[in-house]
Amino acid sequence: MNWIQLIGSFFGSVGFAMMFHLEGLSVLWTSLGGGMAWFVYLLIGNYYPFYGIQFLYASIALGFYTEIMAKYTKMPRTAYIAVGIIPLIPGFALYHAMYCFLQKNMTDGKSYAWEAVVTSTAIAAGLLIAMELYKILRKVSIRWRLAKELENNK
Amino acid sequence: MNQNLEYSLEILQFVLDMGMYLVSSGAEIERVEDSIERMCFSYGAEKVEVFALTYMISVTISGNGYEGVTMTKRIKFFDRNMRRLTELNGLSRQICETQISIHEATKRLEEIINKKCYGLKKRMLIYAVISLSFSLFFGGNGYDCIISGLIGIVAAYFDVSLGRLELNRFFHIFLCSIFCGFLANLAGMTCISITPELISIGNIMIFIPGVIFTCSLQELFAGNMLSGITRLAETVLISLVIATGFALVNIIF
Repeated sequence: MNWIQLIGSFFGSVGFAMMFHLEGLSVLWTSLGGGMAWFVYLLIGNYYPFYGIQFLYASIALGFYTEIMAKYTKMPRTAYIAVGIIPLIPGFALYHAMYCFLQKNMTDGKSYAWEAVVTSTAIAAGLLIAMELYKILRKVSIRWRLAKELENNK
Repeated sequence: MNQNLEYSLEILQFVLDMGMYLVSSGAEIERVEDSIERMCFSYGAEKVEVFALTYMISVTISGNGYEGVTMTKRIKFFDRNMRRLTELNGLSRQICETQISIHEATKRLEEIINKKCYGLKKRMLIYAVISLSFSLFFGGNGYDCIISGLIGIVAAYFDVSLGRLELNRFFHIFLCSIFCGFLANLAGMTCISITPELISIGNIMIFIPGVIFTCSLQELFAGNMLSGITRLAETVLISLVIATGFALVNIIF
């Protein structure tokens, strides 16, 4: 496990949480999401070292964290997502792609640009998957509870 | 009948202000449209049509005694402010659950908007933390991290004082990246164990619009093609500007 990267990702998220005007304990809760997402990324990397898959799983984990925490701390999901995806966002790839294009290094530029596209698509898809799965789980659990209550009433 | 119309105009004005602040503090378009619709219904409109973009909202409501009143709002600024978003969300939820009068709601909205934002010192701290942790994240050694943090502090001051000139947004970022790149290269000349690239990457992460990039893809997946594409174009332009700034400096050194 790359502990230095974990620490870096957590404190980077802390910085961005403050930049987005969050205060107090909410800074800690939101940036823990970022640290956790990078932890999942590294963990998946041990078994399947391809960044697309790693980002997908990391953002699914982040999506579930977001849904659960947004419910308990009564904050909008956007706050958790905006801070939590900070370690995952393809800022480095985006910058390097443009940098290589400027130096007429098309092959490297293309591969970086492709990395940025794959990364952010994986993140967006992962968040969407987590959101929809959570919706399904909630609906199923509500229906299950209702069915149980009906049975008890009989 | 006239009174109804006046009331509906008042509602529209309030709802559009609310929507503008929601969009500008970074809410998703879907959520903004949803909460505007709910608020209009709770204030007694019978039919509501909302269309929101990243820089425009248009709402049409019709109800008892009036038909099809439309108002449009242009959104000119964007500042990701999650605290404001949380409070606005709470307010809109409260409006839908318990009937607050429109006057009180307007007063509450003003209270939320007028809350003070952070000053220069906190911005310096934030920029330092971000640059330091990202140069650590991408594999910089101790010197790189410390210098990156120091450049972050100076960059915050530079950023704020440039902001007073009210330049074009892209040119503003361009100047900031030239400034950061210049300082990083200057630091790289003093000592061998310092890599300018690893210093710069921390500073780049402050300005790079990675969050907007990911948000734009989220918007695209949610079906808001127009908002997604405008945001995508914005990110591509901004990252091009940043890369140009750093490349220009690197050519000189």
